[in-house]
Amino acid sequence: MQNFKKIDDFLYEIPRTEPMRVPARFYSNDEMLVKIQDDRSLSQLANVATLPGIQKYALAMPDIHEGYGFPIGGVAAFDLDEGIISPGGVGYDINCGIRLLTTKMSGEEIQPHLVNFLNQLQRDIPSGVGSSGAFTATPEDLERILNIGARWALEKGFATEHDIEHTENHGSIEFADAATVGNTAKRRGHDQLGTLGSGNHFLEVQKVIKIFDKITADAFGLFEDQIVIMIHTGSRGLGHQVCTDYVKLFNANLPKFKFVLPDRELACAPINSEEGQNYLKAMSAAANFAWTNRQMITYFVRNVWSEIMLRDASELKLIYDVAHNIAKIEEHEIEPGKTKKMCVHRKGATRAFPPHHPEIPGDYQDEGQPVLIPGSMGTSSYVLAGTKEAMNQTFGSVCHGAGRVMSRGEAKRRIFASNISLKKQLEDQGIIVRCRSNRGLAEEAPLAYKDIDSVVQVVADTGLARKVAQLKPLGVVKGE
Amino acid sequence: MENFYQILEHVTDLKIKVSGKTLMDLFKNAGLALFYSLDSRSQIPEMSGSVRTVAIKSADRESLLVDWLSELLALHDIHNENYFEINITELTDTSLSAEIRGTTSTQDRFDVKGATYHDLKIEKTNEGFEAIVLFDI
Repeated sequence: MQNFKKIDDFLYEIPRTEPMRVPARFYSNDEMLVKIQDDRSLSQLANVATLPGIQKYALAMPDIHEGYGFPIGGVAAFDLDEGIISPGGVGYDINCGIRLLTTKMSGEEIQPHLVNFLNQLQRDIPSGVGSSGAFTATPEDLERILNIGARWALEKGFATEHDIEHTENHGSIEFADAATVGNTAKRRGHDQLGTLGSGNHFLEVQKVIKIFDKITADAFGLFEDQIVIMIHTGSRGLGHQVCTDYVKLFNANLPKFKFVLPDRELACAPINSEEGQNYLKAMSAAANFAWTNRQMITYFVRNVWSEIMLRDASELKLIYDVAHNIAKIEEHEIEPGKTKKMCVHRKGATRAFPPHHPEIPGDYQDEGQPVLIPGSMGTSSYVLAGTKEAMNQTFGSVCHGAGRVMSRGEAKRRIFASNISLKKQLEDQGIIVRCRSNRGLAEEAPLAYKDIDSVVQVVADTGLARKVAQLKPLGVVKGE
Repeated sequence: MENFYQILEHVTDLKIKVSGKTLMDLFKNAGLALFYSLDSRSQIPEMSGSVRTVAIKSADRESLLVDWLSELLALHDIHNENYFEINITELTDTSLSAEIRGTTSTQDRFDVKGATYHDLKIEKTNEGFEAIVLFDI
């Protein structure tokens, strides 16, 4: 059992003990705290605090749960001279993330078209799992996608300038280098653009059911009863292979780096080593691939919109696209009045930058970065706005979702024990689901997750982000 | 479910305990367990794909198991095949050669994103060998 103490209403600290280099901190309410102690997420968080060059605290958001190496919901920043970079601090699905598109349609207006719209989305945007992809990139295109990300989609007419401006990093990390991505990763990724993947990845048609902050909602283009479309996916097999390749490389080089690690999935390299720099470049290239993937899905969604709704596809405006599995070089205040560049790892955590930050779009400068938090299937999702408090406490980071509390096997057993199928239960709540198997559906049942409302409320109550809007799903297309 | 593997409870990922009378069996069964876990078909059809050869070198036995499963995942993703014919032709603590043959994968249950080192164990038992592997899904 990991020892910790309460710092304030929603903040807890694991004091520094050997071999931790810094204390660890996590956010929770009393109810979620019980669940957090059921798994090994806190000892995993303490392990992160042992890594060389870690700054201030190893942090975890209220959706923390057990992963491998780093816990899910983990945030850690490392010094650029003495610190490390770790694929385990990013995860296999590099730049898994969320984007949200607004429409001008109301909940009532979409109802007659909703089933057709969902059916066509399912047809045109394949999961890519056991099926061919929606788009096959030539080797030349793939190199360019890895190097310049979603800007490639702009060059090819699959994106608008507005899309690029409203994507984290403009959908392109300049540091990326396709040459550091192995051939196997490229072979896996070349026909996976425009595919969702499976598991908790999804496309959702949602309705804005509550506006918490009208001024910010106006700036983001959100209004009550509005239909919005959420896309959740990542870098597919290409990103998985980049992680696999560099975990192998780093593990083989641990003796050279003189690292002794409590978990081999914490495999890491000095960030200023050749190996560390190559991972940063390859991970950035995979992130570029993921942004392009979400952009291609956006392109296909727009096509389906105009085909089924007989409305102009340009009506679908991107609010924002944000990563929640990534490591990036960012500048943060390390002590009052003193900032420095560091490598911030977010594994199941969302960047949440405050108003007037140079990296957020011009039209959101007064409001802060849109922070997109998906709920579990059938539950609400949220739009939040970044604050200065997150910069002070969490290197500008908040939660990424609800966070699992139950295994897939247990979720299935509970759902199948009920006489009413989950699909029917969701339909009774006004949610249409398009999914190829009841088993896959049951594994992602809401009961397998923490209560998203509580997770978001902890973030709001601590001031890490402001609540802007609550979204209710009307239709879900799942990869499996 | 085949009796050489067991899916263990894990909150987020796929944790498998697999056994084999010999190390060769263990490596073969670990590959089969992966594909039985992700293929949603109740009846596995005949293997219709090409025979593919795999050759891997790794630093130690545990790394070899992770690398072998990672290679199977990569081939699965590239060729859209699930491999239920696995013949390990050579195995040491640091190298493996195998011939594998698959069937077209039409409806997988989930993406297996990676074979991890987390909690990885290969142990000698009275009956042979046993391993626990955690896959990120």
